[in-house]
Amino acid sequence: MRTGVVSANNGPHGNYSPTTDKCAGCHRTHTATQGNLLKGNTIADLCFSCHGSGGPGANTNVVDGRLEPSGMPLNGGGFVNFQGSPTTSRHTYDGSQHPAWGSDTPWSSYSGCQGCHGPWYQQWPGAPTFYPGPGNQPGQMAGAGNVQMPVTCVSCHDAHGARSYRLLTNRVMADVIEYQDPTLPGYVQVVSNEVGGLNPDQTGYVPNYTERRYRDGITSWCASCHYLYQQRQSDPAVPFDAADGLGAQIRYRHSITVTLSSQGLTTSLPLQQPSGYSVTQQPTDKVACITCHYAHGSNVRMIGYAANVAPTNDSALLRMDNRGVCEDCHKK
Amino acid sequence: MKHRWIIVLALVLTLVAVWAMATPWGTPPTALADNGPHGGYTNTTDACSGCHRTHTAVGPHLLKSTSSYALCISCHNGAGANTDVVDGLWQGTAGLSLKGGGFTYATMNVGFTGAVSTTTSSQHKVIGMSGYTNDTVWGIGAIGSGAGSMLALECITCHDPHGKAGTGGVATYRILRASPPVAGIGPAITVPDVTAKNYVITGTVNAYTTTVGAYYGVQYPTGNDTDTNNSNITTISSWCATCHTRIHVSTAGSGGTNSGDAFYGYRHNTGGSNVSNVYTNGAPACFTCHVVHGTTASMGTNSSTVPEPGTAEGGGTYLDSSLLRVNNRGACEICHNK
Repeated sequence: MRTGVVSANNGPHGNYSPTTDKCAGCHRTHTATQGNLLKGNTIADLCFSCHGSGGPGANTNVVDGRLEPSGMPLNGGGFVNFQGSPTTSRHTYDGSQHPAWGSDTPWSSYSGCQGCHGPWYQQWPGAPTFYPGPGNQPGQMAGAGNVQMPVTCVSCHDAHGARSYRLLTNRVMADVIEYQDPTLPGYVQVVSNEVGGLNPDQTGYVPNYTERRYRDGITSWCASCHYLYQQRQSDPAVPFDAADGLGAQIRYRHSITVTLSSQGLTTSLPLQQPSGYSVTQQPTDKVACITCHYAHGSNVRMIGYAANVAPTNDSALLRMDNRGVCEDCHKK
Repeated sequence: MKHRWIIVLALVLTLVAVWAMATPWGTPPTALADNGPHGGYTNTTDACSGCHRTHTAVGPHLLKSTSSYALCISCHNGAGANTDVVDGLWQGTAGLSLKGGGFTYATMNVGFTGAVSTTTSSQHKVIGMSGYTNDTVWGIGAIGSGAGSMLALECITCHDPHGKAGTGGVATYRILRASPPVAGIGPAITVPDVTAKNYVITGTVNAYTTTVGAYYGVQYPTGNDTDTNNSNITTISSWCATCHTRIHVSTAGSGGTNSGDAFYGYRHNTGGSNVSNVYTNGAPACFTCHVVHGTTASMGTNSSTVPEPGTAEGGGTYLDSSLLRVNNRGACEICHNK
């Protein structure tokens, strides 16, 4: 028997009453064991105390990638296990330093010095600390491997509620390519085709953790860290080092946020559906990061060529074994 | 009785081990046309990663190399495939020459004094080669459309690295595209694939000799075709003509009939399938006289001053060895015996 089930922007994660007791779910005013007056040893420990194996406090068991008690696989995959087997790649969640592949650097043409020191950066709730690594030079993007981020759960999710799908933080690094609120630099709202998914912070929102109903904003949100992966080759046409042994070079990238139908392709993979949810592929359905990748962790396997792709040489959070995600669309 | 079962079991295990070593499961994967990385993909193929990088590619088409040539020769230089097109050699059996010659070196008997490996004197140059510049596709287009037009040629202009390159998605010989992505080309030509793939000059080692049955290497494909009746080599000529449209002609007597074109008026009939050394056996095919990748043939006083189409005699702009199989105009003399 579990304790009360909680939901995004509800329970401990928002919509607090003037006399809420939710603060005590996570914080200790005078006896906290970690920063931000949190209880538990680490942020992940605290989150997993509800969202852990067996779902001790929430249906969403992100450790094993299961919706409890049914065991249906979560949309985001799992951190430690998924679909009954150990994960082969995962987003870092323990706060250790890890490269944000394709990340921008403070020397980019857009952010410049302001990338670290600008006022918008300090406004970013839960922002991780950036540590520009060696080799950063003006006019050259250091790129993957040179921007280390100590990522925890709250780097991505705002535990106190947000206007985005899955409590994703609303303020990200600027210069994203879609669905920006022009009044707020770096503002992205990730919305879904779930019931009430256009306003996930409002009454009437019904999250669906096992059916993929992406609508808009998710690519821009991912690109807030994996900045270069959402850009076209020529924008900006400066070299960056992808930590693949080839050094600083101009890079070509797969198109993202293009409609699949415009390319004459079909897929069984999830797409962003800006015109609303449909079981069948619509002309307006677009490729997004989540078309190919899980957010939390993947259990797919890499062999042969696919097992030797720098810089990670792992399964890169992909949804299918090897390069099944390529073949699913391109059908070569 | 118990010991007999143990012996039987040991024999079975030994046979399984031997069989495994003798089959593809016991050996490293070999890349073959419409197989390996070049087709026959499963729903969870890993082959894409052999050539492409989704977010960090350094070449167009999301390639992991800066050009398709650089990528192709990362395997086809002998390092990852037996077909070493750089050196024109089959690396599976050292020293055997590829039918297509080679891009940088080729081992050819161009002077009938024995096969030697030397630097090529002409190549189908492609983007990514040192010093590459766009070149003219001689004879492309309809009658009266000029000498030719400039083209940025790549390996993937002729070959489809994903296989299924024929009309309707059928496999083709050497994964040749039925419709190369070139403006102004002729109709699609599907060159049928062959079951028994034979990449090397057969007969006398590194032949390219005047001996019947060894000049072209003959067996395209291995089967019923002969030196003088080889329907598939005729199809390849039609494929060459999708780009070199006005150079190819299949009409008897074309050498005495003006086509009406300003640059390609009277032309040798190339619509036959004669790969022997006797001209009375019929008209040749493109491959009777030319290799496709690169040749080591050298040109003498006269053959080195043949003007490029559209330029005047003695004007200083001359053709090179034009991928010919033998020195000078040996390709003429072998058959015509003048």
